[in-house]
Amino acid sequence: MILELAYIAAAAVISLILFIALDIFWKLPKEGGVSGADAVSREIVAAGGDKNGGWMLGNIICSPDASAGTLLAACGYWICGVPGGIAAAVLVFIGARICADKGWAGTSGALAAIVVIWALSTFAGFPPEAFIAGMVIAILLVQGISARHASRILGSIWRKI
Amino acid sequence: MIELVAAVCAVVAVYAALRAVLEKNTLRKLPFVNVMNFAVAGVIALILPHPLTLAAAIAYFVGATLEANAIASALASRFAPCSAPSDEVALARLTPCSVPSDEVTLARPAPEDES
Repeated sequence: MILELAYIAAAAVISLILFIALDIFWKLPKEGGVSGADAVSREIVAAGGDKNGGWMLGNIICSPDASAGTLLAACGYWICGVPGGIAAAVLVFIGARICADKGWAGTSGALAAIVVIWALSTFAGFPPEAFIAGMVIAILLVQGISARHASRILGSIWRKI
Repeated sequence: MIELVAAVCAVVAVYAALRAVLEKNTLRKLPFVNVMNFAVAGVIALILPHPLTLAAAIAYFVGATLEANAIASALASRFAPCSAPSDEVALARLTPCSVPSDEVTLARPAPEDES
C-alpha cells in the first residue's frame, strides 16, 4: 500500500514537471490560443491572478494540451501498451484540431508521456496505471486548489524562462 | 493497484464537482470542471481495459474541452466591454453592449407623414 502510494506520488511529480515543461515550451502562457482561454484569463486576473498564468490555465481548460496528452497516453499505454499510447496521441491531435488549437502541445505531450512511462515501467518498475492517478493529482494541484495562486506561480515560471 | 488508482480518480472527481457546485461565478467553475473531466476520463479508461474504452475516454475528454471553450467564449462575447471595432462585428457576435446609434435607430414616423 505504502509502495503503491509512493509510486502514485512520484508519478504525479513526474507528470506535473512533464506537462508544465511542454506547455511552457509550446508557449501556452504567451497568449490565449483559443477564444475561451482569453475569457478564463480575464476572470483569473479579475480574481487577483496573473495574466500569463491565466492564459496557460485557460488553454489547458479550452483545448487538449500536454496535460490531456499525458493523461490519455497513460490510459492508452495501460490498455494497449505503446500502440495504445500512439493511438491516444493521434486522437488527441484530432481532438485539438476540433477545438481550433494547433495541437502540437497535446500530441508532443502524449508522445513524451509514452517514452517516459515506457522507460519508467520497463526499467524502474512503475505500474503504468500509477501515471493515470498521478496525472489526475497533478492537474488537481494546478487547477483544483486555487486558480489565483496557481496562475501566479505559472506566470513567474514563464517570466523566469 | 487498479482499485487504489480508481479510488484516487473518484475522490478527485467528487472533490472537483463539489468545488464547481459551490463556486458562484460560471467562468471560475471551469477549472474545477476541467479537473473533474480529467478524473472522469481516467475512471472511464480504468473501469474496462479495452481499446474502445480508450476511444470513449478520449471522445469524452475532447468533447468536454470543446464545451468548456464554447461556454467561456460565449460568456466572453456576452459580457465583453464595448470595444467592438464596428457595429457590424458586434452585431455578428450578438453582443448586447453595442448601443445603437442614431443612424440605425428606426425612427417612429411623424404624424404628418401618415396623413
